[in-house]
Amino acid sequence: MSATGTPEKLQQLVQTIRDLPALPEVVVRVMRMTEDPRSDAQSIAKVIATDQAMAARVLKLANSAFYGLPRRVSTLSEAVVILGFRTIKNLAIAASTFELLNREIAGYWLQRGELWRHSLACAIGAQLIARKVRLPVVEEAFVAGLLHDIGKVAINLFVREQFDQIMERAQQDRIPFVEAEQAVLGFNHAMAGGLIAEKWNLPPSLVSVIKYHHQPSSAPDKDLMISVVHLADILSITMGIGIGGDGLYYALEEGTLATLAFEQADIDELCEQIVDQMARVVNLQEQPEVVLR
Amino acid sequence: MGVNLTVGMGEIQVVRGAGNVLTALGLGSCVGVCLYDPLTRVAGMVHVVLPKSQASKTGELPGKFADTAIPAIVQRMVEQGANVSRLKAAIAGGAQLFQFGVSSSLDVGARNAEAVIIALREAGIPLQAKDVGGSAGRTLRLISDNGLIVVRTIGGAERELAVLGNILASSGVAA
Repeated sequence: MSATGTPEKLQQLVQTIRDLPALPEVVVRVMRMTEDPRSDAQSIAKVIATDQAMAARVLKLANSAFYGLPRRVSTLSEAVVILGFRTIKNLAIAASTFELLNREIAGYWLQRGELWRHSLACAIGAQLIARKVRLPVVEEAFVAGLLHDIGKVAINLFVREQFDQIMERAQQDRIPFVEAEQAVLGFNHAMAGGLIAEKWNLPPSLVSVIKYHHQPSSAPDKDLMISVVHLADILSITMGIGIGGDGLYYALEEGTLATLAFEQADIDELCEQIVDQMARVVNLQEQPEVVLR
Repeated sequence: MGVNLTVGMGEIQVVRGAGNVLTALGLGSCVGVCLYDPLTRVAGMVHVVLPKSQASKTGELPGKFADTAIPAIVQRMVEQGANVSRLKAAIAGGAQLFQFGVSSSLDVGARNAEAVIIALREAGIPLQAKDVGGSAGRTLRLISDNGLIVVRTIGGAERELAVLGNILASSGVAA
């Protein structure tokens, strides 16, 4: 692996990641509270409500057709009761990473909002796949899918500088874009994402999904969740949902479909479901209507 | 009063008259189909996601599937005054994952393009130009004034794919 100037670049990457915003304290607390059996809806809602912008987004997401609630929920504590702790935790993470994921990622030729759209499609896809393969932690799949590409935010500027070289490398050596990133820059977006997840103190299983989402078989823990997110990512890329200049220069790791016991018909059905559900998620770009009390 | 409409996944958009622009953003394996009637300047675009509909559920978004998308968009265009016999088509998209023969079950891009071409043939609509395959994402634009079709490779150059309103080209007179 030739990587010219890697030590300095790696230094810069570490600095870039250090400069990224921390996960808001509110989310950290919500994550902790939702794991604690002694927590109650009221107190979780109260914590979320301390961050107005996030609270508004959480409510908006909760009311999106995606969750199919029979009626509009107007308070946070209601949302916590109806959707459950795990879903609320996911909504809090989604709401708090929105700003980062919604950025323009010029290095990848992603306009503002495109990485968010891709992340959401992957989150939805991962949740659908997790349900189908009966993973016990379907909600975790959503968060893992949402955050899988967070590393693109960190290596954006490095990729922008050398996009042409990376693409050339991918095409010449016939390797996926993520491997070409590694070859040219000395690091890649999956690895950078893992570093961010560690900085945020996310659970090790989530760090591992982000780190290995392009090569599940290399993960030391062989967690099925990694294959779930890998397939969801590849399907979202294939359908062009929030794709950039790296396009479809990616590969589905051999054996993924067998691991998940997926067949052609399942893939088509899944693609269709992702498209349908994407249409039902709210647009967080719009000014959230504030219904807090 | 021209409009500038984005054609999302599974959507069909039809406009009439000059000054309108239809755009499909981020086509991967999906295929963007442009149809144009040069005389009435009725222009249509559909963003096809999958090759074949399951009989059970085509209702909400017929544009999602190649086999239901073409009849549906043709009908919408006829309602706007287009004549089927004058319609011309151009398509773009149908990209595939890079290399790796193993992922044959993810050849949805190629199947989409094939299904669209068959559906156009069945509808009797001549396909004037296509830009399909490869591994790059594409943005497709149709200008209603003259049926100009522009394809941009994401991260790459923009190029003119066809002018569907060009009578010379469409009657086969031009070289």
